[in-house]
Amino acid sequence: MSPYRVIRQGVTSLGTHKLRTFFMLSGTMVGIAALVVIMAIGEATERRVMQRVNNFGPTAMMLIPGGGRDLPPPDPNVTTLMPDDAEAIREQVDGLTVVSPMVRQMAVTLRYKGNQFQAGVFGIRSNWHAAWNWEASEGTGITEQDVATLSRVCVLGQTVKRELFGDTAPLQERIYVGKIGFTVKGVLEERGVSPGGGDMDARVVIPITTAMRRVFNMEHLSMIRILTDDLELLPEQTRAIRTLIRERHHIRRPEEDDFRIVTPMGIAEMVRGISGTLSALLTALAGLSLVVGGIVLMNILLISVTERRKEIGLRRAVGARRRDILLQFLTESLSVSLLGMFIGGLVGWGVTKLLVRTTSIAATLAWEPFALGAVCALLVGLLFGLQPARRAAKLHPVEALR
Amino acid sequence: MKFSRNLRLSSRILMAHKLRTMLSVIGMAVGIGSVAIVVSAGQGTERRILQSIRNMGTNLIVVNAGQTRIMAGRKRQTATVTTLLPSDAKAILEHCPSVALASPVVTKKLTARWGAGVVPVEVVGMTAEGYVIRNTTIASGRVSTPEEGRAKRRVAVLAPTAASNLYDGNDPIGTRFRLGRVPFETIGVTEPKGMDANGVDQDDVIYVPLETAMRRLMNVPYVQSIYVQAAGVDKLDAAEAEIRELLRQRHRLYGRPDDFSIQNQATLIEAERETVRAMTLLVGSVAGISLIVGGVGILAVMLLSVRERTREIGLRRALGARCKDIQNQFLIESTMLASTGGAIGVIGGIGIAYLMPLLGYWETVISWPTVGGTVLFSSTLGVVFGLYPAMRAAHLEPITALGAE
Repeated sequence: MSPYRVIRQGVTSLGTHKLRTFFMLSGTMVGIAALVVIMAIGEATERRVMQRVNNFGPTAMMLIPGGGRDLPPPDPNVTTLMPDDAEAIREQVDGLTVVSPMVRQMAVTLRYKGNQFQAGVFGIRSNWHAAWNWEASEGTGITEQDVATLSRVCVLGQTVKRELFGDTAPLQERIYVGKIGFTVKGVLEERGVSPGGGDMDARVVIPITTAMRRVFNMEHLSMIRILTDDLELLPEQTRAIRTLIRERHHIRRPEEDDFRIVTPMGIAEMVRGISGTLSALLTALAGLSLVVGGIVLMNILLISVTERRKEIGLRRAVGARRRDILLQFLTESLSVSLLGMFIGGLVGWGVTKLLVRTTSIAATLAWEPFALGAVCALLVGLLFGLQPARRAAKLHPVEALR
Repeated sequence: MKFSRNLRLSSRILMAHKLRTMLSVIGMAVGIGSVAIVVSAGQGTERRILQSIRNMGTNLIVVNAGQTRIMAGRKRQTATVTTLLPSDAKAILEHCPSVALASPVVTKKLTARWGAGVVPVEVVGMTAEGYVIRNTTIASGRVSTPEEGRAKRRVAVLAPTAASNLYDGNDPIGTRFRLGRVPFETIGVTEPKGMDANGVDQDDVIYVPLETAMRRLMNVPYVQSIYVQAAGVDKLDAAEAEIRELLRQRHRLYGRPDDFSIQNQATLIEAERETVRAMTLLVGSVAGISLIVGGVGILAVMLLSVRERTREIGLRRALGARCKDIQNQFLIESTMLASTGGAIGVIGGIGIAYLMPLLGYWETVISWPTVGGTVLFSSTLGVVFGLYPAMRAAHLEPITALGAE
């Protein structure tokens, strides 16, 4: 018998036993649907992680004062990180493109005419713009000239511009940072959410020298931003910087660091938090329901083999080979699981859309869950179909006919 | 027909179809087992978190200087705030009727040195009331007296981890060591407290009198927190409100936001419990999907077996069995399938839940009401998924059934 005819036979027999087919379908269908929904939610989380990491800078490191294993913010009470440390890193660690020291103060009151707003104020060098890949969209950024002359100029973040100026043009206007007057020389591009979940656009940047001597009266740095040439070198460079700073701060074992180095990997881990483990666990549980669905499929197929002994015997008697019987039952199980995959994929897609529309759960559909679903369905069909099919093929024609 | 005879008949039929029975049971067992594991892991997490919150103290309220923001899942202070003073603690004790005890607290990370040992350690400065509020009990030696505090005496009480790190097995009582550059005398060692809710060791701490810490170690006139003990569990919320009003008045905050934040143990417990429960519910319901798939499997097998046994049913009806007898027989079959699966699943689940803490640190609680509930639930599923096939079997016309194939 031609394989084509055998396959057709398998599919036809599914059509005639609708109820049985439906039950065989249901397990695979529910499992795949659950898999699609859960993976879509996991994908959304992962995208958020990637977006935050990109905002931080995939090739960046940040050296911040204050020990411990926590991630930012920097500890404002630790005053040991000095401008000389930044110089030393730039000179002694290879393969770094930018070393940008900065000072900052949170929640400084800014005033422009009647408007008031509290924002972070950052004292920066001109290479800060390159270090964060963050240029001025209007006017110009901070230059080395501004830093050298301690000039009172500032560049505003978008949120600050909106809060202080509304729709009016901010350039060359005079605002107060704390009690000191500054001239607005530019506005930064929009940046969005920081890795910690704050608004990155609620900030003002001013020259670092002006900040340290005229505004905050501080000698120490709040952080050093470092960019590397090569992502491969990042772990090694992190180690080199750590050794260097420990030495410069006279920290001997077993004393702990009085600084931390934040890496993109650290940021990803922080944003991902428990959700990584959770989504792996949920995917595994959805996979488990697929296995249970497979067991159900196998069980029904086994019953169907017993029920159709006569039919099998007859077909063997009129010339069907064992291979044909095997193929017929495998076709049944495979087409059922593939159909289950198809319907399950559709249901999963629908549920995901519904979730996004009606709840605050973020979910992103990509091709991966569908591909994985297809592979799983094939595996389930083959794995759980094989045993019943072999059992059917092994039946002795004479005995089966009786 | 008697129930026991029905039972015997059903079990004999199930045994006759070993493979079919086994597969149905496995499907059910996997579903029930995963639900059981998830539930016990959830309860374990809940118990661990609640225990660590209770370990912090009885009826505890913590007032922190500055607003804390939750960043990356932990509470953090955003800036140094110098407005919370020891006199605030005194005022809270005097003017808030729902407050039983109050102790100002300062902390700083310092290096402790003894002999060759150099260890970084958290130094906590607090009054004698602080020990009572935080449930910190002394294992050997004594607590510092208020007089020692007033005289700014350099005496220290060590928590067990700090003591063993610094002294490496030697008896610490009566010895002198240095915190930073300042010499201290060890006068006591506390009982161990274990980890806090964030998994940080609470025993890597050295306690010194508040005044000594403020004057000799940190040189600050302000404190970071005030530990408060409410007069009773039911007074926690009242105490929080009183403290807020008092501090706003004392700090002259008219219209401005609080320059302190208050953590109340009751709300903390409630919030943590909610989080864990929501998580357990989410994971549990995904685990429940396999349970439903397994149940549908039983439904399918029962339906197919009704069809297979149409003649048998017809024969039994002809010989005097009533509709109800047929229905009961099939119901018993499906319930037996489901509850056997449930029992196996629960045993497997308990086994894994028991092994989990031994292999990793995911704590699990095996609570017998939950186990019983799960088994009962699986039997109920058997009834639910068996009802339709059983009714279908019961309503077969005897004549047509006998005539079938």
